[in-house]
Amino acid sequence: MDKETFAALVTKQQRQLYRIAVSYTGSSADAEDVMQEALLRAWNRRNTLRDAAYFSTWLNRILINECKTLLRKRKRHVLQPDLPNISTPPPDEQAALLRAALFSLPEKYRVPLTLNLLEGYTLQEIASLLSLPLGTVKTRVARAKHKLEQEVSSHAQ
Amino acid sequence: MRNEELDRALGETPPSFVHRMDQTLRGLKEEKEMKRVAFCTVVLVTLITLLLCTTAIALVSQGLEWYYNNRFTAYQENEPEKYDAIMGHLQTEPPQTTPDDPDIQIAVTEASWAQEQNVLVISLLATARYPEQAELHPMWNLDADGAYVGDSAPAEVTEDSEDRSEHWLWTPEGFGPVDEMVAPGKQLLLLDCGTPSLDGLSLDLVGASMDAYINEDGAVHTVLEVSLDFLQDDYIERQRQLLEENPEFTFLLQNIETAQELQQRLKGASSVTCTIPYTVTHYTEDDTLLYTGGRTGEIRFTLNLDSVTLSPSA
Repeated sequence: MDKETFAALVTKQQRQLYRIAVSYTGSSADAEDVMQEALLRAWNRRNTLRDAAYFSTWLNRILINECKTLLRKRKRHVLQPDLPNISTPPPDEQAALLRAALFSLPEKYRVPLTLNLLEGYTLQEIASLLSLPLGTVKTRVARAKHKLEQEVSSHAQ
Repeated sequence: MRNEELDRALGETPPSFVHRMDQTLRGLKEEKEMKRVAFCTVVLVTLITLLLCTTAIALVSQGLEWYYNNRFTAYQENEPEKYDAIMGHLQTEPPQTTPDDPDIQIAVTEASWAQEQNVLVISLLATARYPEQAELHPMWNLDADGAYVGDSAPAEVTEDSEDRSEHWLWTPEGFGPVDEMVAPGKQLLLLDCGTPSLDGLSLDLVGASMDAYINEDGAVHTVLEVSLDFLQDDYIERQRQLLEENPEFTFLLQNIETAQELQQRLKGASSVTCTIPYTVTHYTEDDTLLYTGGRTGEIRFTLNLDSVTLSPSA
């Protein structure tokens, strides 16, 4: 794959990469770091991608691995633990409530939930992306939805 | 819950993210065709490289240079100017007052005030004072993935393997229950370093990050990174603007006050006393004691500020 094709495919899923990275890390700055690491790693390993049709999932898997590595290596002191450190403000109060509720979920619930609801991955695909048993993913997505609804209603009160 | 709602909750993709992506993509290089090299040349170059590497490893083993070249390589690979600035301002074994701690020996081994890249880095090494009786590990290595869920965890085994009610510890040998990971008969000590203060003013207002791990010598190596964003000309203005938009974020008011005071104190200073708080906790299964019952201490050192620049308005 040449540089132009690679760049075009990456740019096409720019928003998706941001959403996954920021959902995972809770920080715009960290999202940038992991995105950069993931792109460099993907470029260096592009010969391992057998079928370009799977580029998106392949790149997302690399990004998720980078997120995991970053969080494990650099366990950030979150100064205001209730607030995700995202540089772009939510557009309105309802979005702000949902953002607060989403980031009050532990990462192990938040990530499968966003992959499922936001990125449209099936539970089986999420299991593969996160290297988790299918049963675990099912449990986590179900609990995440339940917890998110609880959080949204408690934040709204 | 609709996906459009979740999408909106995450906000717009920041321009800095887009810019960094473009920059990264532009910087990608296609491999050049390999030239054939004579076998003897390869052998010779390999031998010389091995010799140089051995010497280099001996010289930089376990310090910040090793850290940024081996454990956290993102700066070295993607932000070389930041890496160069950190290396260029290294202060080795700065003058310090080491605490007379009953459980551990701790020292600041290196620091780097790289203002042009907005970052202060501090490196600390700690070991158990009585290694025959205790093992020292970073607090972060206990349940490193946040899996421990305390007494509320279901007692029965569930299909979620991380729903367990016992603490697990990461060590260089692997990951497992505390009893299995710590040598028999030894007490587990857990070290947690906090956010540094400059001249008594905590740097909590800015971004701080921490990494801690067991190095090859068995010591706990902690690397603290603090953003020097508060020295930027427009920092206070940005905080004020943020506060106007989000009046409920009252911590921003504190940020502004602390930044103003820090700017005043650092103006013209050639050095400053940097204090790093830490907590040593004897592992216990009582979670209240585990997370609040640790003994606190602090280590102070003199940080050279010869590269500080502040705007005239600061």
